[in-house]
Amino acid sequence: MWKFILRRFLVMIPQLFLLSLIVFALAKQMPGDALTGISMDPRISPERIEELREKAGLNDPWYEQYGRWISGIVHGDFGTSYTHKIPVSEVIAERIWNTVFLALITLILTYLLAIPMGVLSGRYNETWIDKVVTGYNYLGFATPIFIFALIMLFVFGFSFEWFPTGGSVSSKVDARTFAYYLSKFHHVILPAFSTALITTVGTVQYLRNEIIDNKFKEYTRTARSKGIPDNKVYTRHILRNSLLPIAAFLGYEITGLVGGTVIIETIFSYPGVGQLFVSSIGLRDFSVVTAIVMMLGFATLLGTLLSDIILSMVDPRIRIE
Amino acid sequence: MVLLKIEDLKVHFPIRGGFFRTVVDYVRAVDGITFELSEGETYGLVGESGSGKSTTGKAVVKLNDVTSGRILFEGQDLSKLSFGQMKPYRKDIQMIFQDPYSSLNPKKRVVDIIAEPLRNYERLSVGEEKKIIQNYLDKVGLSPDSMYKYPHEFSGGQRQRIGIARALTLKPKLIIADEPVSALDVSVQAQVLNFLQDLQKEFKITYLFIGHDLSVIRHMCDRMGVMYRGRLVEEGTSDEIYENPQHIYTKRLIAAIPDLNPESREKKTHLRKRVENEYKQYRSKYFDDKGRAYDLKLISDTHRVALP
Amino acid sequence: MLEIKVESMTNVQPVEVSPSGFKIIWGELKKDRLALGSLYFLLILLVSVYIASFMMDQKALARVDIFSIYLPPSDTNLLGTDYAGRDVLGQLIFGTSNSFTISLCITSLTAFIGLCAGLIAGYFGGFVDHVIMRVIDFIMSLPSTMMIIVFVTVVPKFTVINFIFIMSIFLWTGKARLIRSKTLAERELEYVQASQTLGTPHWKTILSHILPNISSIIIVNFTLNLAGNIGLETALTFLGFGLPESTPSLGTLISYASNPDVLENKWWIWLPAAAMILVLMLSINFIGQALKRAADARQRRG
Repeated sequence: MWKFILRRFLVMIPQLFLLSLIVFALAKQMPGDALTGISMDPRISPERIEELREKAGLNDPWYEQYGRWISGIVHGDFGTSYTHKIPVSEVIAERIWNTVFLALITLILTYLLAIPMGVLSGRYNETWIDKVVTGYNYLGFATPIFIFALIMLFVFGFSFEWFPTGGSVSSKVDARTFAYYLSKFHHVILPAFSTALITTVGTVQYLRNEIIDNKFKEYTRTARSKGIPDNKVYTRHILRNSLLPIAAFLGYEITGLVGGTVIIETIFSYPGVGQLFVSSIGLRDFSVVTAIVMMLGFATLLGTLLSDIILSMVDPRIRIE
Repeated sequence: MVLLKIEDLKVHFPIRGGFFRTVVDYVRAVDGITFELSEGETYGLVGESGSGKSTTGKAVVKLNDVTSGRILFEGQDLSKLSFGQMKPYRKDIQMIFQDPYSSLNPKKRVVDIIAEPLRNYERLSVGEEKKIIQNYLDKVGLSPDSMYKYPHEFSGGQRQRIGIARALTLKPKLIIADEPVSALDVSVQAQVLNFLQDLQKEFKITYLFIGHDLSVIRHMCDRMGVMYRGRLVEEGTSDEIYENPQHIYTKRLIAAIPDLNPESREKKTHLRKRVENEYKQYRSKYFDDKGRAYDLKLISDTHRVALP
Repeated sequence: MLEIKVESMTNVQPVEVSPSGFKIIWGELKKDRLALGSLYFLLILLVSVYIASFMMDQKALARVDIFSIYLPPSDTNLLGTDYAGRDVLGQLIFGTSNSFTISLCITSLTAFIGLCAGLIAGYFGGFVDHVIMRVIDFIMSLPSTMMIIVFVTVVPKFTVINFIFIMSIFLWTGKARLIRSKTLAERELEYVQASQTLGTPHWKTILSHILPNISSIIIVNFTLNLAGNIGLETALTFLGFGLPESTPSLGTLISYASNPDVLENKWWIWLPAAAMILVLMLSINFIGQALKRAADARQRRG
């Protein structure tokens, strides 16, 4: 067990290293560097810029630059944002909690939707309720999130005006009041719900199959033959066994959400990291872009790691492989 | 004349383990065996599952990598050849597989299955090829119209005969039959076995016959070797092994053959008990301290036993 | 000998001739009305879109007309006009054909790479398999949407071809993994070993034995991926990192909706494109799911 976790961690180290190398190489490919802003200034002579470049170490061999860059990141220093004129870490810090909050609510909603749907359609499979859920699954599977989100925004944001159409909090409320938190929640609910309604589909499908499988296993029959009421068989036995693998997918779920933030936050003009990423690319603020890719790449790796470890605890067979 | 000579053959599979998945030990599937086949004879390899008999057969046709030792076919060492260099020899050494269901590609018609080896070695026109295939289908007792059918349309025994026809098309000198009847119904087993013997007479084929059923082996083979945990424990003519088994493992194996005659049942039970006692008492004498069988020693011109 | 012959003649059950891959799939598809309807619908839609886009003048369509900005649907412009006075219907037709063609290219390219990698890894196993799987694991653990966006921004000359390549780098892995696991299972069957002992070279064994036996899975996976890639391509174009301006996609039309005024009041610009994507993806998915059921059922039957 511990051996597996430790080995899994060790696998992550070269992955992280490779990720950082790729990000660094991409960053070098991006037009402009830390001094691009200054070099536009006609009052500063090219010789002076060259001097500054030399001083900033931009003429050093790539591996030295990489070394400096990576040790900076380890210490939380991502450089300075060229548009915001403040350290990148601060720019991101302002947004990160919005993204985490959105992701958290989305995750909760995903599971809140998936569990009853999966359980009902698995328990009563081949009935009308199962057919409704399966039909919904079909539609959800075939619908791209960005179109669904756009339609949700159009219907509930603009037409019915039930939800705000942008931002993360109303400007009219004071920080740290109850109304402030309420407003935050109000802002997050539509994007979270739009994502959850679509991403829940995979979990529903999986849960349904798990329950149908478990329904016919020996242990269920034994439990029934002992006279345990049907409801109890489901809550005590089947559900417990079917939910474990679902819990394990939590990490992969996070990985998926990281990819989705870019699209969802852009559509709902929600000031999170994903939106920051898109706007920074538009503004050519590449130090921010690099930092975000590095950070979210790390988050994705952690998500996969988390799921692998939970899975190995749930299903010992995986460890052997 | 010696057709195939196996010299101190070893096939080891690595076991990986520990923190860095390094090789910690080996499964010694085949651990140093030596025997030879003369032209035209049938040599049987018996043993329980996991004794290394199939691995030996597969090593000869290069389905397994050889760890050490030599496989001499007509004097040429096959063990060091690469997959590609092996190609000319495959023509002479063919194999019949155990499972007639998975050994035929379900997506191919019988004609394509049987023609596969021909197409690898010879350039024939469609007509010539068809004639040859029809000939072999006839030989194995299948009607010519089965040519354009798919494997799932045949019974197990018929499928096995398709497999045999496929092995025959290149006119091999040696056929390795890896438990060719153990997946078949008992009623069909005898048919296929007799049929293999008929083919042997007609084409002068040498068989390396692998099996776990001693009565089948006795029926088929001139000489046989008994394998246990990757080693040969006894080798001799079929009669020698049956009538005068010397190694305790062989004795046990033969005592375990069920006897259909109800009158001799008591005698048989008695014999089994005796062998079992002997096995318990003298077991350690027949194996060295690592539990490995000793090297074979000649006890007569044809009979070899693994004794200390 | 005689006995055997008698047995063979009486024992051959007259079972229907086993058809190969495509025939089986077509047979199963015919039974599923929803899937069959989707297939016909898709065929008619695509044929008319491709013919229409072939006959239309793309230059005339791209002409800016400041006197007819944001016109609602009318007789002359069936779906109205956009912010530059361009006909939305025309753009919709071009967008559909572009989006579909490019998704098809991406799907084919990833299918090819995935197939090669999966077959090689699964068939040869060992060190080759190990290396390929590590590469796949790594690519799969990257935040692919962001990586694609960064690549698209960084690439010196952004063209449709480059876009297809960039997408493919990140999208072949799932396929390769699937095909590897199926190949591994197939390789264990004795007919593969039989083929090797018959002197068939490795490449021929892979192509003529293993490939046909996993073909139905490849077709199912191809269909479902095609639908997915349409979604992905339009989403990226919507964000502004997909097809270049010169090649309008369905996502381009939808991206006009990032302007709240367009989203709220000028539905004719983005809603038809959104509906088109939904319709395309739904019908392709219906077909794919029916194929999947057919393939699964066939496997169960053995």
